[in-house]
Amino acid sequence: MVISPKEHIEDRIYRIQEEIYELLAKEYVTIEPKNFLNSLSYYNNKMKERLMNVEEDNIKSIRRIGRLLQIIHINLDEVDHIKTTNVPLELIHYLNRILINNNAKYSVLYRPGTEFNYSYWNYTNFMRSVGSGLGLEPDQNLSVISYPLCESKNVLLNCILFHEIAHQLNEELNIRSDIEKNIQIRSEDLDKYVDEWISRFSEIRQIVGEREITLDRFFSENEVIKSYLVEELYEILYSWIDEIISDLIAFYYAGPAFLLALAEAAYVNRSEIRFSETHPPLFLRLKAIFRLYSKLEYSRKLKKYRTITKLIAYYKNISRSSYEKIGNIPDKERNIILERTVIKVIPILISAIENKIKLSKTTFIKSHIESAVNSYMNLIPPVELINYDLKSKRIHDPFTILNSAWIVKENYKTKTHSMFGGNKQKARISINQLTCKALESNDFLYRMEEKD
Amino acid sequence: MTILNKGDIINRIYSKKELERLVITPLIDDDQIGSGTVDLRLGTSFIMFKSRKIGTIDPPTETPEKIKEYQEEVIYQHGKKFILQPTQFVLGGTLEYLKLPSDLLAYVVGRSSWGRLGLIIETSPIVHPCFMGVLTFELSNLGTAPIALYPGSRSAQISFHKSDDKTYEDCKKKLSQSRYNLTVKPEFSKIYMDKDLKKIQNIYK
Repeated sequence: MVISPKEHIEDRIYRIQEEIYELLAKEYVTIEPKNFLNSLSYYNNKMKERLMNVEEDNIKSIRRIGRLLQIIHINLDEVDHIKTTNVPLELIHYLNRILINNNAKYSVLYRPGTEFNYSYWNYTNFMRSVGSGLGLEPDQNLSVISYPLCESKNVLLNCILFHEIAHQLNEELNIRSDIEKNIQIRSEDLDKYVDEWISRFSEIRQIVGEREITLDRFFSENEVIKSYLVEELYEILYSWIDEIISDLIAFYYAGPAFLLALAEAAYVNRSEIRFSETHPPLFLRLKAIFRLYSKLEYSRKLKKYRTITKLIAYYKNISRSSYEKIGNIPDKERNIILERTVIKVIPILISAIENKIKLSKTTFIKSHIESAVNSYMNLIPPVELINYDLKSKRIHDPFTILNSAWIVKENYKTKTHSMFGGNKQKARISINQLTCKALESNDFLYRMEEKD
Repeated sequence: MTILNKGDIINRIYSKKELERLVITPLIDDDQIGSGTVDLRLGTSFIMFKSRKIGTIDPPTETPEKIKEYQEEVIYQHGKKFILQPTQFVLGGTLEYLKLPSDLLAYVVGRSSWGRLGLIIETSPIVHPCFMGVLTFELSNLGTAPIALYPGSRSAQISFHKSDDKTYEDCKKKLSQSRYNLTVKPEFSKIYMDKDLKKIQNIYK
């Protein structure tokens, strides 16, 4: 043999370790990037040990080690983007408090990504599955949440992060897994769907049979076709349910601020009916959120703010869409079945969430919201609720800060724009900055009080 | 001009009249308000110089992009310490966001406890009426030993002076007049906005 794969991989391990040292030397604003790097270093070192025991000609084992190194390498690149200034710290503090209040055992690494996308990734579970073939156990409980690099300080849009940490709660509190038996596709729907596919395959079998070509097992046995279709449907359904659960948890914790952030981002980026195997279409997500919106009586609470009520009515209208009403789309039957099942289980999801998550201090108190809105309109970050008669004050909660920010941004556009001489973008940026400042101060006040 | 005492400051903070109100938020402890001053805390954001990259700072030729080539922002969250080396100069900011009514002018000075360690905190101490935002500190270590700075710690004090003018203006209308208004963290220098610098540069050309 001319080259030595073992030496090649050995050198790669060495270079990855050098890169990890470089990144460990950087300054981060939270502890998680270094914990994450230490974990990558742990896997890298394990690969080094493993490689030492592999024979030079065992190319299969060497390649398997190479694949894990590739995963480490991709993640190093992601950490490289983290700076102290592009982490949404003002929101992270509060999000971490939610996790701690729910006794979550995982810590979260927040990292900016290059896509215009928010995502959640259970790093520990992933590494457990990847490392199992190599006899590796994860060294720590960590999940990774990504957000768009250029939106790191867009605190209003970053209310979507409530959805991402909700994935963590869903997993750790077994919300979906504990009610899985109640999430069933109607048997008549399922039978009809499977029968249609079986008849399509029968046609194919007939054509193929005439041409004397052998079909594989999948095409020739009805039971195999059925089990494949059912498995595929449930896989999509569970992914959709996970997303809906996260939306509902996020709505509990952030209220209309989450609804507005999600709807804005999703509406701008893709059609409200777009099918995806991992995410339900926007209209269906909104349908679930609006169920909770009604339950928590937000129509009454927001009535005073007419423009924002109109905007929300626009999103509600989107939520009235349905795959049944839409004309020619691929796999319409499948989509209808999924939609129907999701709608049916929404009340079950809401009650499961209410039983499992701790929801203290996340309510919409009109007087607090009005006070915070007033602060914004006077260009002051709404840190404290002041009683001018009693000369006393109390801390606003992040829920109030975020929701009043959205109200000011959407409901008082004309007034805020005129304050900035008609410069609409400057008005929006200022609201955003005041919100960041309010949240940062809020967390400091909260922690100082906690230490008393 | 009269200086506001503790009672005056408290009355201004809790004034029901919007145009007279003095805003200092957050005020963590009531005892931050002294007999004639309010203690201000250090914020979490700093602007550092990338010394390797600086040729000469030549104000008339500066631009926002150019300034960012030799200054960079870093964040130190509460609980972490920022080490300021001897002779090092950085910009910091107050944790507090301030809004001064149109009849108050303020002066900021470093707390002497820090000064005695060699720390200079503020070199341009006047805060104009109608200022809104976070104050920028010009931090420099004149001592011979590195100093650890803690975001959130009390670092400076501010006193308020009332003008004799009895009329109150709506400060929101003056928003566009100040180059450093409505800031929520320390700001990079905007010296390039000085109109007469260019004139002076070309005076005999």
